Amino acid sequence: MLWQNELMQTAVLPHPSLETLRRQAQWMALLMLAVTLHVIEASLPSLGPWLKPGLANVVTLIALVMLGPGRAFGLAVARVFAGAMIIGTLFTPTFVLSLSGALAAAVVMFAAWRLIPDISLIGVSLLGALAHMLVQFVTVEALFIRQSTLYYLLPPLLLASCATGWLNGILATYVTERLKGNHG
Amino acid sequence: MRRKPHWYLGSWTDRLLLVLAIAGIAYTWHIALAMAGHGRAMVEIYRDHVLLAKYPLHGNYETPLHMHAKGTLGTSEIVLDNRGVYFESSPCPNHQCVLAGHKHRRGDMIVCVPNHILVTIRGDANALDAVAE
Repeated sequence: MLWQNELMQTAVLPHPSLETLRRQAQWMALLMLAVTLHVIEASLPSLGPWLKPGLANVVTLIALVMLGPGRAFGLAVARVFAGAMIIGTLFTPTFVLSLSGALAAAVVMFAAWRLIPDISLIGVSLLGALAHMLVQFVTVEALFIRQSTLYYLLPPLLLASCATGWLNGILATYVTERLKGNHG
Repeated sequence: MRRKPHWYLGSWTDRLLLVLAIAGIAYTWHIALAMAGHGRAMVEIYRDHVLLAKYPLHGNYETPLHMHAKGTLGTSEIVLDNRGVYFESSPCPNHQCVLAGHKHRRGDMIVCVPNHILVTIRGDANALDAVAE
């Protein structure tokens, strides 16, 4: 009987736990949603130069709450790469701006989520939107235009970022509460 | 569990962050407007940090003035007429610069990132000159 038990143990391949599989499935589902929103946003008529609603960032916020900062960061990066491949902008200036903005927003949002007491997803989203816009400008000035006059454009666009960041935070809060079953 | 009333207004921390952000933006906006300069409004065309051309915004442009700015991807055609300045054509893929349309206020700007071309409207006396006066 002992040899049977040993055979059983060697025959069983190590496999991830159900919880790990569930999280991986959630991550993939959120990634697909984020890429879809990224592509839709790119194909929509522009609200103005440099201005986008940033709906894909809502998915990063949802991942932050549901899966934690590490997986949410991975999702933000994977979304930019997958979205750029679909749109056909991989390694173009658009991609560089998108990646720099997404990375900056992710880092700032995770730091705010961890370090600022009593902050909600709305505040996290606000800071993420501001970081996204600010770093995009720094990237353009450093890599493409090299003209500090560019920063004159920044204040009205930061104001617009406040509005989109706040609204995206409301949307992310609503969705996460629905997903947690707290919709009241 | 029920959501808190007025949850969409965020926490006190969120609101404090919003107020701080708006105050910071208002301050930088004020600085930006001052830096946009005083005096006669001028249209400046740059490729990166190199000034390619400079024309007064309000001139006699019954016949529109066509300018050709050579950028990284090719030549952008910029037109100055009595309504302001705009990109007529550009070799960039998305044509955001062309879609930006006419600009006619001091501090306005059109940026073509892929072609490295910047068009800005500024005063011919900059803020530091104004302070010196």
